Amino acid sequence: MSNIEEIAKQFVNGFFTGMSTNIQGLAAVYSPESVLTFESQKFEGAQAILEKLTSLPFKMSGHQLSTLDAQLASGDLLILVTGKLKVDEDENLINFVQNFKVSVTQGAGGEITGFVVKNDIFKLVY
Amino acid sequence: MAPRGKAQSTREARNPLGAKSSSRGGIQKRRGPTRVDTDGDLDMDGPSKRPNRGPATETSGGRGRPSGRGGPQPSRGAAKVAQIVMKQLGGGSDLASRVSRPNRGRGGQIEGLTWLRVRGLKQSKAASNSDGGLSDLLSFLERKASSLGTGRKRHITIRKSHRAGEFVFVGANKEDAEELLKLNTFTFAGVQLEVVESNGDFEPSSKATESPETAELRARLQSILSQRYIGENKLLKLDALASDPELVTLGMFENRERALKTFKGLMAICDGLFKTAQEKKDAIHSISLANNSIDNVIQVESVAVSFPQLKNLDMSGNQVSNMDGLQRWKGRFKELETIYMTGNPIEGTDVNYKTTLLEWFPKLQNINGVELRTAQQIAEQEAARLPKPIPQSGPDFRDVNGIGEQFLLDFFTAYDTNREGLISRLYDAGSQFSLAVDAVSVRDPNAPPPLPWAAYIKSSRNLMKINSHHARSQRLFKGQTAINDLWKELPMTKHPNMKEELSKYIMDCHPLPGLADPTGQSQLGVDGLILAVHGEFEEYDQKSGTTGKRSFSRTFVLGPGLSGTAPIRVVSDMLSLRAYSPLPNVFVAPSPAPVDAANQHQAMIAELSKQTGMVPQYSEMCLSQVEWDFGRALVIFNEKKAQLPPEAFAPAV
Repeated sequence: MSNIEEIAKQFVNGFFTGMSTNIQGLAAVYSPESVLTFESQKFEGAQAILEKLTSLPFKMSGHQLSTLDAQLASGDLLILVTGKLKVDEDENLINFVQNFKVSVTQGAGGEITGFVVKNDIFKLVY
Repeated sequence: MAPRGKAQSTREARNPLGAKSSSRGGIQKRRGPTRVDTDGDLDMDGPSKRPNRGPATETSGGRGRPSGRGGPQPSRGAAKVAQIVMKQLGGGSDLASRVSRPNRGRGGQIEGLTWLRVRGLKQSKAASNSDGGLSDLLSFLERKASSLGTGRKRHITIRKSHRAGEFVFVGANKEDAEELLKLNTFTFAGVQLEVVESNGDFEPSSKATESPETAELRARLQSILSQRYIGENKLLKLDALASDPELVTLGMFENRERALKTFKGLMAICDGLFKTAQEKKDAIHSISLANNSIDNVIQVESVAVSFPQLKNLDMSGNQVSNMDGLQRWKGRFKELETIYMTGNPIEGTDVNYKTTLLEWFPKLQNINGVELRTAQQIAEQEAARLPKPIPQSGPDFRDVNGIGEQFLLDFFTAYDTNREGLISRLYDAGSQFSLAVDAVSVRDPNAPPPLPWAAYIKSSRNLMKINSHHARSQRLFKGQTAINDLWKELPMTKHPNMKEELSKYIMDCHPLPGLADPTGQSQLGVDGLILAVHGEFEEYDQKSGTTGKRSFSRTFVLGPGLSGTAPIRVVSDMLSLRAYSPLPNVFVAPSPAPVDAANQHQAMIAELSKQTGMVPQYSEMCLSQVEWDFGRALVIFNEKKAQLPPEAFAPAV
């Protein structure tokens, strides 16, 4: 996999666009083996994860990404994102940090055909 | 203090007859002939055909004169010394430092130069050349950078350069600067160069190199300052400076830019008088800048840098006619409580200026002697602005055999005290480290200002901003040597003791199946851990001498070590830094979630089975009878042990 940085960026952009416009659409990137840790609560499998993300006690009204870093760890992308989250209609943003371990699926020609999130750890750090 | 000239923003439009050739030492022009604008800056946009003018004419027409000056004309000699001193005091790099802050939205666009800091000349063989090797270094940089590009070759030009201590600062346009940056770690005259973006914080010049004239002038300025300090009121009276006979004699207010430098010099001396920021803050609560003909606070901007925690400011009797004239102070003076603006044209031109001032200065209570809001009202407003807390759950720490816990307890202590040893124990040739600086995180507005990012920014691998493939790969540190070389340069840290101050951390730990097996024996891969840690640390930057706190998040992927080495190794280590902001204490947050209760029951069943040898079904029955009181369950078990059927116990293995 060449240029993992651009691939990570592509994933992150797609992921957060999904978070703000179509959470159900993210079902495609979670698999039955995916683990989400949302504020230290654990959810396993795409279904449980989507249920959690669509039934939060507050509304994630927008993510502003500040930093993105990525490394290749054992063939998967290890991604660390920091940014600010708008909660409900509160103008005061909250810092968040999110880790992903993502496996990238590639076609026969090496083209990227999809992403599968293995681990997703979300934390508010205001 | 400043001549009643036009504001900075219109200076390009002024009569070009006022232009002087830039005799601004410290910054050398390399490509002449080049046009300079009225402030002596290189005018990058102008045609470069214009010949250099002759020697600097100190008394140029078309410029405003300082108002109210009365003393004798200074001799050229005094003025020259004064100029040198201002440079020594840090004033000389003023414009350079302004233009080297491209992201701060001011100055940078006009001057158009990006500044880089180069280290290595002093240690190189070229240092013994006649000019200390500067010209050799500059032509080396230009030549190498020009030959780097793939495809079409472009000539890279260094527009300005100057030395400060062991550093050489070079200015180039943005495109060229990007090419020059790639020369980081290149070898020049036997030495590996460090080429990094300059953040504008120029190293202060050493007093040791000061000439006797400089030292004398410094002493005179210092004496002027001490006469203007009223200790009992903690007041520094910098009013009507341009009519101070002694300053006029020294030629310190000759013209606008001299005045600007003088002021910066005075501030630099102020800074030098105090050992700590706290000492300075305690000594000076109020500053008067009254009657200085200031039309734009650009002329005295450094007050805000030297006295960020000033409480009272007198700006009365100046020439400020609109809020633009105060723009440079917006967001500064976070502690300012009182300001006087009487006798400025703005009183008549902007009816809303007081409202705007209250918006710009969060603690401002009193304008022109009238209290407009109380400290309590300000506190209430601030409370309303704080984010609404969201209840947080405790950490999700699913460790394997205590490896994650042991790693964390060991890691931060070792990172603080012996980074090299840590690397040799837990990192190997495949380990990767990178860091990213989040300079825009939300922080407590009442907390001290964030520490500067200079020590980290050159290695920050924020992929949102760092786009060149070269820079990205350069900022990914792989293997023990590369990581060690970087960590040696990073500021020293002290992380809270994890055992004693657990609440200062939040960490999650998850098993991670399917890591590549370093021994190559397992096709399916081996198990590892992913650890996500959030916390804070105290920092001591050995280069700048600054200390303070930062917040961080750090993610590790751990894998099993190769046989014969430590049982684990760090596969990936990613550090993210942001301004200090305390974490919510998740350990006291009530979280009696049903999930947790169920987990707790499972844990109790397992523990009871372990202690009694009962199978889980019997342990559960026993515990549910006593409403999950573990102590009572043990008592009941011991009472009834003899009556239990054999199937209650797990068969001996």
